[in-house]
Amino acid sequence: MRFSRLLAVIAALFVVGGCRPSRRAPTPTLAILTWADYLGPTTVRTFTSRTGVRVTVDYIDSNEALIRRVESQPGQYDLIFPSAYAVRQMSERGLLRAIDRRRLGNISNLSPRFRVIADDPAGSLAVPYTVSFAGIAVNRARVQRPVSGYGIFFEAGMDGSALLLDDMRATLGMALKFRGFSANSLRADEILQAQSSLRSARSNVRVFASSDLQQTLASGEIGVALAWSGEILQAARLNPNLRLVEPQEGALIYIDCMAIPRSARHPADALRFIDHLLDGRVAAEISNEILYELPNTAAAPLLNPEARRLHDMISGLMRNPRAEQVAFVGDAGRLYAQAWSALRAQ
Amino acid sequence: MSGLFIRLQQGATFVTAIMVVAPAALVSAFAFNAAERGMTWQGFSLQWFGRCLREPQLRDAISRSLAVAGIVSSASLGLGITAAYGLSGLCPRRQRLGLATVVAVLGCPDLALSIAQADAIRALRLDPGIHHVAFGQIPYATGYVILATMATASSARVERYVRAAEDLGASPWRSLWHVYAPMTRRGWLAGGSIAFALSFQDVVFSAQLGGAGNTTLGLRLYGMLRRGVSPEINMVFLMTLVLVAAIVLALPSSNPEEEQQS
Repeated sequence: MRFSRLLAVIAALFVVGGCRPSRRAPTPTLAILTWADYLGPTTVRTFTSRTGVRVTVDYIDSNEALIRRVESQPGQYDLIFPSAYAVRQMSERGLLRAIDRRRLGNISNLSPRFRVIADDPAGSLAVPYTVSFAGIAVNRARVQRPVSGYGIFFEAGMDGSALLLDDMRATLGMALKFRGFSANSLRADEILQAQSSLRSARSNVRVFASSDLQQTLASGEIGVALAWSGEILQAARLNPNLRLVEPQEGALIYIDCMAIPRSARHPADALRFIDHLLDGRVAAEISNEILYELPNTAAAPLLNPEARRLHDMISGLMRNPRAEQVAFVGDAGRLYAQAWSALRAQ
Repeated sequence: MSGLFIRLQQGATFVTAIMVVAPAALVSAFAFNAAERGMTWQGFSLQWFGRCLREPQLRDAISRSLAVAGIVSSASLGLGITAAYGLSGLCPRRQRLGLATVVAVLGCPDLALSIAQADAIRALRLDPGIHHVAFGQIPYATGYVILATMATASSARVERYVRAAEDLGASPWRSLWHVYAPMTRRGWLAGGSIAFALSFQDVVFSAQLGGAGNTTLGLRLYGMLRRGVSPEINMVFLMTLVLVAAIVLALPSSNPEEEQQS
């Protein structure tokens, strides 16, 4: 009977698949839920050798997935990396545990500008981890006129050459700042004005995109783009015609944080890991590897030229008083959603 | 006229083959891209093969997915063949009702089911783990096995042989094991393969039921997307392709001559 052969195949699968991971991953001690490529090559190893605490790392691809996992699988994760708006959302649902900053010996390394996020002014829920921003990418092969701010997206003669982020808060926030308002406006009339600006500039927009930005930018088919700073810098490596322009109206600043779920089983070890990430040398290694700015004064002297350039750029941006963190807007989120779906339906 | 028909048929086969093979070949080719990120060709390189092999997290994720797919396909085979056999003993109307129920489940979004399962695990205060990921998928996988087994059974008129065996005094279990299961082998092998393949690339159940430290392959790949695609993802595709092809080749063959002997 050939059943036996089938059984043998299945048994082999169990041997190959089943046994190895269970031997490899003994009872996890500190469970981290984070984004892909968000730690340095030796970050976890040095923590384990320093403290003896073992670490497992799992990955999410959106803040929504992060919230869902923490909510539906309580007790599974000890340390998470939500974006600022998600910190607020999670704290309102009672999902976060207070962080006692006095227990973080390296907390003084946090650069003063980014000590807290706008959504957590007391700093008791989250510790800033990375800083990035939405910037303007200009393809000098296609656009020769001077570009100094968001106005370029609304100018005549740019037909079909602009890329805008397929991100409600970023693109509406950009239009709000173009009209001179806050990117976190709570007023319906201001949001409507931003919407009408974008509507009248609709013929300029070639595409709304938020994934595969780097490729789209590098291909050279776009004249100007509102895109994530990291994507623009990486695309500029592939296409030397690309420039990253700091908007004079003030950039939209995005901060991802470290936070501890209320249900965490090892909150003390999570604090130790946060302290580890605040160490200057550890932070510098991460920043050099992933090319995200870690707001760490002790890391600044140890950055490689590329990370250094990003660091200087963000310091420059922050000197503009109109630079703004994108914050949770509560019920006004409905106004943004209405304006956005009207625009996207066009 | 018939020559033209045969040529049309050959043409259609050719086009279909291209549509199946060309995307896979293209994706595989880019596994040898020298680029660090993105899908622009920047020269031939084997670096991603080495980097994939050396990445323990990826290896663990593949092992976990294999374990889940192994549990799911073997459990669904056992349940599915038995269920199909049970349904075959019913009157035609009930049989259709049973089949409709199974197919209806297959058509439903698995997210709803997985969220309910996650809530159940939480309510029961169990620790999530890969066995829960596997258990979560079994209802779907079993549906595929039932469907494919019953299709084979009805086309080969297996019920008549089963009834004959029972008339000769075989117990239901004996006729299941010695008549029904061997005669429907092609069906449940196909159903089991579908179950295995779908389980191996699952994302939904893994995300909802996995818990800490249990990232499966599908979940790991999803996580990689945030910072843009790198040739690593193509290399994982190619390695999985080879792995699954090897598993399918290792499975028992089912050509008609052999079937008549058994």
